[in-house]
Amino acid sequence: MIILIIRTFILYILVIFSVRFMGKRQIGQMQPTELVVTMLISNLATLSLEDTDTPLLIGIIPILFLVSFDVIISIFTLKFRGFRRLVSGTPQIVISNGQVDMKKLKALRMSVDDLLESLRSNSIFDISEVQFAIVETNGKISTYQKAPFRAAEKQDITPDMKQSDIDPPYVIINDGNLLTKGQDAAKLSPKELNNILDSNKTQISDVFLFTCDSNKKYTIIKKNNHKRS
Amino acid sequence: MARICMATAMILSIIGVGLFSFFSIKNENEKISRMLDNIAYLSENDETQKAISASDALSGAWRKSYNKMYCFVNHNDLAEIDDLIPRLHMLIEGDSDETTAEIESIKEKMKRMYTKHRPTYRNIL
Repeated sequence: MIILIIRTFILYILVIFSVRFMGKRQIGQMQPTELVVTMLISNLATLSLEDTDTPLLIGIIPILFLVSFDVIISIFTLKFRGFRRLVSGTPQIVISNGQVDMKKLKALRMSVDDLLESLRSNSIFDISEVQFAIVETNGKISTYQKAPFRAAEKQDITPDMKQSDIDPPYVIINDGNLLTKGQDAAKLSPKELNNILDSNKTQISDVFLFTCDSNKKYTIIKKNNHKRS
Repeated sequence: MARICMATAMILSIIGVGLFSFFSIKNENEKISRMLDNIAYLSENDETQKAISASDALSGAWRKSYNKMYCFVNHNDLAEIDDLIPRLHMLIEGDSDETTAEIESIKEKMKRMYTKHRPTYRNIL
C-alpha cells in the first residue's frame, strides 16, 4: 500500500511536469496531437499504478518520451505550414456571408443539430444572425455576427461610421508567408499590397501578421513591433 | 529554445537508457548462461565440490544481475529465476539427477527474459 502511495505521488508530479512542459495550450484549447498525448499520458500513468510488479521506469519513460516528442512536433508545426495542415488540419468555413455551406458540414460529419448547438454555446440562437462561422482545428466554432446583431462598440455610435455587413479581416501574410487565398478574398491587388508594405517600410518576409478586410482596412504586425492602419 | 533543448536531451537520454537496458539484459543473460553451462559441465563430470563453488559464485553474480535489471525487467520474471537459483544450489549439494533439468530451466527463463526485450517485429506487434 505504501508503495502504491509513493508511486502515485511520483506519477502525479511527473504528469504535472509533463502538462506544464508541453505548455499552456494543453490547459486551454487542444489540437489533435495534444489531445492524443494527454490521453496517452493518463493511460500510461495508470498502468504503473495498477501493477506494482511493473518497474516504475516502464511508466515514466513513455510519458517523458511522448512529452518531448510532442514539443519537437509542435516546433515543426510552427515552422512548416504544410506539416501543420497535415497534423492539425485547417479551419473550415461552414457559414459564409450568411449562407450555410452544407458540403463542408457533411465533410466535417457535422449535423445541423451540432451546428445549432455550437452556435447556442456562442449565445447565438438564430442562425440568420451569423455572417461567418468557422470550425477551428480543435473542433470549436468561432462566429462573426452580422452588424445589427453584434455588440455595439464605441465606434458604432458615432454618426459618421458606415455600417455594413463586411466579412472579418482575412489573413494576407502569416509569419513572412504571403497567402494568395486571403489576398484574393480581400480583393487586395499585388500593387495595393506593395503600396501598403512600402508605406510601412517593410517587406513580406518581415511581416509577422498582415490582415485586411474588403474595405481595405488593414492591420500589420511586423516581426518585433506592431502598427495598425 | 530551452524547451526544445530539454526535449531533445530527454529523447536522447531515453534512447540511451533504452539501449543501456537492452545491452545490460543481454550481457547479464550471457554471463549467467556461461556460469550455468560451467555448473552443468562440472555436475556431469561428478566434480561436486567445484560445482558447489560455481553455484555459490552464480548466486553472487545473480544477486548483482538482479539489482541491475530490477529497473527494466518485470519483477515477476526476475522473481521466477530468483526462486530457482537457491533450489539449484540444493540440488547440486544433494547430487540430484534433476540438476541438469533445473539448469536448463533457468537458462530457458533467462533466454525468454532477454528475447522479450529484443526489438524484433514480433515483440513490437
